[in-house]
Amino acid sequence: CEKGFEEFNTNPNQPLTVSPDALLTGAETATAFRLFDVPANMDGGLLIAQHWAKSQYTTEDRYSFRSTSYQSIWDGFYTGTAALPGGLKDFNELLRIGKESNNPNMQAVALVMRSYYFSVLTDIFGDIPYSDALKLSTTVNVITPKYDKQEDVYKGLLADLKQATTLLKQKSTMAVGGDVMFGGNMTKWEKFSNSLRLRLAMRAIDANEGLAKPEIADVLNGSNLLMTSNADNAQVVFLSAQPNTNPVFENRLTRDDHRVSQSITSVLSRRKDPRLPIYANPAECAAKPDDKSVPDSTGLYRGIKNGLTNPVAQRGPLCSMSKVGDYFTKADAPGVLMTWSEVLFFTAEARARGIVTGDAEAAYNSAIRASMAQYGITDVAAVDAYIAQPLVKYNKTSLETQKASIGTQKWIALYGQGVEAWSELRRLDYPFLSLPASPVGAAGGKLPVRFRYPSNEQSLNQANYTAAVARQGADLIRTRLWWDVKN
Amino acid sequence: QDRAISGRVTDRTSGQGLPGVTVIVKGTTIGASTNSDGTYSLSVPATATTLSFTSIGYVSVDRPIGTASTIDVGLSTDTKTLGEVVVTALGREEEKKSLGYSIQDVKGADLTQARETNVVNSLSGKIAGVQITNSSGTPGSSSRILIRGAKSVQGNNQPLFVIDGQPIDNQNFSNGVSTAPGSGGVDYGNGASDINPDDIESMTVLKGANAAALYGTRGVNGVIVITTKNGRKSRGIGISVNSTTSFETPLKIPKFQDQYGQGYGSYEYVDGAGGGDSDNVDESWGPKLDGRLIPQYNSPVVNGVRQATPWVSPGKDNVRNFFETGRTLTNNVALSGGNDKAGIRVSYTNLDQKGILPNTFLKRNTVNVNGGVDITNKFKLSTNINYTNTKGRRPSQGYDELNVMQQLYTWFGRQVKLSDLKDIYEQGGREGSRNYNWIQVYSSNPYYILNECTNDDERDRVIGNLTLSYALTDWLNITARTTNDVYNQFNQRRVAAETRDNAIQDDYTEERIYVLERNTEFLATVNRNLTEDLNIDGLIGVNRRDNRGNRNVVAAPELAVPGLYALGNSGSPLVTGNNFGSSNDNNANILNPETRNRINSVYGSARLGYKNFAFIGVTARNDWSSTLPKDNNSFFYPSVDASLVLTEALGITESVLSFAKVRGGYAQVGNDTDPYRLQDIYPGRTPFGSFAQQTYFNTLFNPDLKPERTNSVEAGIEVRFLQDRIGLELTGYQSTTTDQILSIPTSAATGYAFQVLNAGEVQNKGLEAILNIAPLPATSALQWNIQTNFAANRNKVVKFDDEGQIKNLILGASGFGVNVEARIGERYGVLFAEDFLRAPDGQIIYEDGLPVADPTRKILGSYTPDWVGGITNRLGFKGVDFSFTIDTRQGGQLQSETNMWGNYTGSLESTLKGREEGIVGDGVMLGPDGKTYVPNNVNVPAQDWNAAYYYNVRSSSVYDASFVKLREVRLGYQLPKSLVEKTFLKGIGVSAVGRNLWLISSKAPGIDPETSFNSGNVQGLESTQIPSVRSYGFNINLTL
Repeated sequence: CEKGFEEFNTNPNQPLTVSPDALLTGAETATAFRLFDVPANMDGGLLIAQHWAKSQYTTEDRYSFRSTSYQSIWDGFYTGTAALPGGLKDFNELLRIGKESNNPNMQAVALVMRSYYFSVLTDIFGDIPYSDALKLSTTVNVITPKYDKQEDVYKGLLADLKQATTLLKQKSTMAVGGDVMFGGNMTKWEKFSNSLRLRLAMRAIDANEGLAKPEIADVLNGSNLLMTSNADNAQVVFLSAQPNTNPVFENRLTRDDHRVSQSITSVLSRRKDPRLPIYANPAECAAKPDDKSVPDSTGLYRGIKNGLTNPVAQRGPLCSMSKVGDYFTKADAPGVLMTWSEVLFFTAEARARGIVTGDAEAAYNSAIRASMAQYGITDVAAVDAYIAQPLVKYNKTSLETQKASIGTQKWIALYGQGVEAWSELRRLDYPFLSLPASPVGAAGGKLPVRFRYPSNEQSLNQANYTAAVARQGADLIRTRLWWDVKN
Repeated sequence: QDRAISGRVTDRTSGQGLPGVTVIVKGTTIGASTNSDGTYSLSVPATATTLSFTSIGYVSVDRPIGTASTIDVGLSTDTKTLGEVVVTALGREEEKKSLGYSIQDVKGADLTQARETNVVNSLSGKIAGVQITNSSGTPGSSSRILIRGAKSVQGNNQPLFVIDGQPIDNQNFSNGVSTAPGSGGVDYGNGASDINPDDIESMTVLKGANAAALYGTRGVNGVIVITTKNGRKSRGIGISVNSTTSFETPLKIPKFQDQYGQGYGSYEYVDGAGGGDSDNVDESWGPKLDGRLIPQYNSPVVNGVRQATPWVSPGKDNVRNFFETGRTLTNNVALSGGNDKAGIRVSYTNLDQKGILPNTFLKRNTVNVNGGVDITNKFKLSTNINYTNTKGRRPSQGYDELNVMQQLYTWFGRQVKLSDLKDIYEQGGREGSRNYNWIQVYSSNPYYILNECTNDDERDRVIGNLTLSYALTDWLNITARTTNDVYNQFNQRRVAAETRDNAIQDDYTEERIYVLERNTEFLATVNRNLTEDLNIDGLIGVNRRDNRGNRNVVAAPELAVPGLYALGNSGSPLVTGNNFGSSNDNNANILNPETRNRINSVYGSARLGYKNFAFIGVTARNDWSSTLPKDNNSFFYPSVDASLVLTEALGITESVLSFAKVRGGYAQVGNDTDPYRLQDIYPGRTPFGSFAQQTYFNTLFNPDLKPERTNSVEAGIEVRFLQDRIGLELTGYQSTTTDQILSIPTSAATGYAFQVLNAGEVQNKGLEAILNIAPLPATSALQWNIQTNFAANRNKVVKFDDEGQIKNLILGASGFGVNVEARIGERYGVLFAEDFLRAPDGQIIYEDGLPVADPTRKILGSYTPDWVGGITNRLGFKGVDFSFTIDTRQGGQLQSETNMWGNYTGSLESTLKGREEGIVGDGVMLGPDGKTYVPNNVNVPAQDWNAAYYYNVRSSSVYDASFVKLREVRLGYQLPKSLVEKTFLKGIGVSAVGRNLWLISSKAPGIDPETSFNSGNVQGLESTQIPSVRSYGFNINLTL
């Protein structure tokens, strides 16, 4: 009766085996797309950090975020979605394959990427499934993974990155294929691993100095490779042909709801920052063409205030507000995960805090130069003049003033990297940003400090969700994360 | 001198027309037999005094002729002789009284006069325990039929359709994964909608596992057994012509406001894209429509200056007038001929339907050949071949720009005159574009969408079987049967440039679908009297079922030459549906384009009858399925039922109680799963430059699956009183489905979005009642039958996994986050989403004058109704036949996006409240002490209040889904023979028919609460629905 049944039920439609190279490419591109896509970035971090603002459909800019956005961030980073598969699950499997094939390089790459995106998730939500996560298989029945405290997630990630560096220091010659970030260059991976370890350790500095300080000191002790040029930046350069284009470009095909925030145009204008023409396009028309008493804004860099109501935002008119700079909206714009300038800002901060010795100001100035260079601004004299301005010059008066200098310049440098800009804004609390014009979401009169858990967790993982909320605080956008210590 | 007499013979109990009744002038050989709707006509000699009506299974009736020219008769079932014969599993004809389970049938004439394009809808309100949900008023839309509640948490809950012993495919190829929750896509109708009502002799509903155990895995949700008309019963050549014309209008549309136009407070059109004041706002919170002068999208431009024109309402019927009157023409010609040895019927039917939305239609041509011949006395051959060609042009559905209802119901400027947009489109456009619209972003001219973004489909389908049988002895018969159901469907989806979905260039998608189901069956049937009192009726059979499917989607996202919709005209690489994960928006991702599976089966059944009043039946079946793992692919399941006719057993005669029967049974049915769920896959997607991309699939498959099981018990009584003038049937049942094969949604943190496993136990228990009353005696010239049915089903999800980790299962979610879930301990189909944050006394909490959402989500209702019922009245008088059906669904909830967005955008009448003076919301706010609540006293603009109330909180748009509908009205007249005989015809019947005429009561504002998007399990979500239709027309039936 059963003759040929196995042949009948062998899937002829899909690959039944997986290539680790294709797995790495798929996961690197999908996660990078998601990091810069609408939910986490364009209608998330970039609005909260006031890099961008909304000119229409301003609900998110008023802190009324959609539950479907939380869901797509969560699902996307963990497993990928049906429309865009590829996520932490794939890096986790790559780690397993690396172990099975005794390929230390593959294991290291997987560990670094896994750590990066776990940190993105925890920085957005706080406590998340980590030690129990990604375990489900036909033999391991973890259907409802428990949430780990954010502190424990950070401890795990720091240990994983240390392990990645240890693996890379073996200088194995085994190849890693399919790497669209560094082309399989293990030296660059080692730099990224250490740089990321520095980022995560510094994030924990206010919450657990005992944990963070030795890590930072260790990374910066001179024996570890760190990013030393913009060529070391961790990024995925998207392609000009669909469907592998940059998510901002994809969004602009059907939407035109974002403009540059007035918060950043005014900060840049006051400093005559040469990055302004890159970050923003000039306004295309006059704000009030009929009112001759109002100067014609055509050609000016004119950001809009965050959190306007729809009727107010409408009165633009839209063409009188600066659009996001072409650099960021082109099809093959890079999705930037981490930069050399960030490493320098962290170095400055570590020096300012006395964790390591050295000239904090020198590192700060180098960080600014690195950021300028990232956008092709290499005129030394011009950049020196920029740095010499009172508003830019490093203020050594106190740790607080140093944090203000670093925070403001870092916020400028992180333009477009919505999630990281939001995280560093929460941690450093600089620059001071005014509240949006008409917030409606429950942020409690402040900038949002986290996103709510996706609503399906209340259906699929209810007990663990409830435990996490009981431990961390109400599931609201005003509930602070562990590392976000009130100052 | 002869004279003509005609009339109609009906079943005394059901009032349905009885075909094949012999009508003879008593004492002569002059006679005729009734046709399919129970009508007859004959010429009688002047000397005739009495007409005699006889039919197997019914008590014969003699009626004096007198001077009447019309004689209608209702026949009672004869409980003493053979009894009513019904079609049961595998197309067997069995006496109804011998069955230990409930079955109900509908006769063909009831399907063809007040016809439905989708024959499934004809069952609405007529069969106890059957709930029909038609998806929308678009031509050829699908219908969901649910018998005795949902048994499978996640899988198919649709019954099996069987035509003349042949199972047919009833898939619903909705376009796009997003169709079910109402987020866009096209509904191409369910497979059974291809069945042509004109070719149906009768439809029998086998309501559950007990009746359908012999059908195996697919009988668990019940079976609709269809018997087609054949030529055997006709004597000589017969020709019949049946023609129906009907007109359709929207049943219900929302109430709109006509006092305020587009914009936010103020408005002025410059370019419709943000260049003017609010001119890119697709909401209606703008200036009062008081005739003030404002430059508008259609104002004349003089010397480059747009002139101000009066700002007025286009009238309250602006949207209603957008709909055209739908029109459905159905014409059927059938030829039949036969004698005792052979018979053939050839039928051709043409259906031509025009939808209520411009440029939508369905055209269906059906040819049916049904014939049989007795080659020898023992060797018989029969065949039924049905060819259907269906062509459709169907509108896009759900919350999508390509569904024009999204614009007309919600995101709309209420000052916009739709007839003006029609002129713009047809005349080639103001401002140089046929797509010129009242807004140049977000929405397209609705006429442009309907005319240039079309969804065309064509399906060619052949359903055919060939049966050979040989009588080895007078009690043993051998049958061989092969059945094939095969179709090809070709869908073309065009999205013209300039629409929001497709801004730059035209976009074209082709989809090809191939479906095959083949059954090969051998049966040995036995019918023998073992002793004088003991009879056995049984069968043994083997069957092989093969299913194959192919579904290929190819999209050209950017056409090179505008307007030429062909793949060869693609200006960019073609995208195939096999390319899982492509980011194009054609919803073209199909995981398994090619599928095949096979089930081998052995089965048997036997029914023992004692003295024709006590019966016991058993069935057993074993299946081997290719979709299950080697060790678990064989599964066996039995059933047993018994029936006892008390009136005969106890010798009750000549009593008020004319018939009484008790019955009961137990059945188990096993079920397999879809192909390819045992082995993990790693789909690829478009390479990143030269780098191949693969990923772990988001579903964890399972190599250890085992078959599902449903255990079902049912018991019932059937009693009839006063010579069958009152008949009551009561049935209680309980079914439990265990080891369900589920694709369980899991938290993405597990690494998978879904996990396939055997889990889940769902219990359904319910009560069905059928009450038939003939208030007037059989001798009355006026015939009146009342047929009532009622069914209540209680559905409970008992558990999922054995470890108890899984508490809830998400069936689907609307585009705005309303989950439809199965939750342990709850009814199936729970709506789960945000409610308002509430004070301890239940009042809504306000902050800054706006209501606040509770971050903890809640159960807001369930789409499962408390009970459903229907009542049909039939009156017959001298050839006039009048009937009407009212049906109802009580209980259950739905969430309405029409109301959610219609209030948000200010287009509905309900948004007039507080427009000028603002709104102080009804609720409480935190008092000055920061602890206690005081009444909210903050006044906010109406726009802000509506936005917060309807957008932030889903419970504000959840409504009771109960309704009462006047489902069907029919007035028919069979012309007297005396008139007919002057023509060349044998019979003329005319009738006026109406369906879906009146939504008598409903609690959901502005919409038809009987709503769904397809025949799947995600129900209870309404999303800018295309309105259901009211249909009225007439039917002419001629026999030659």
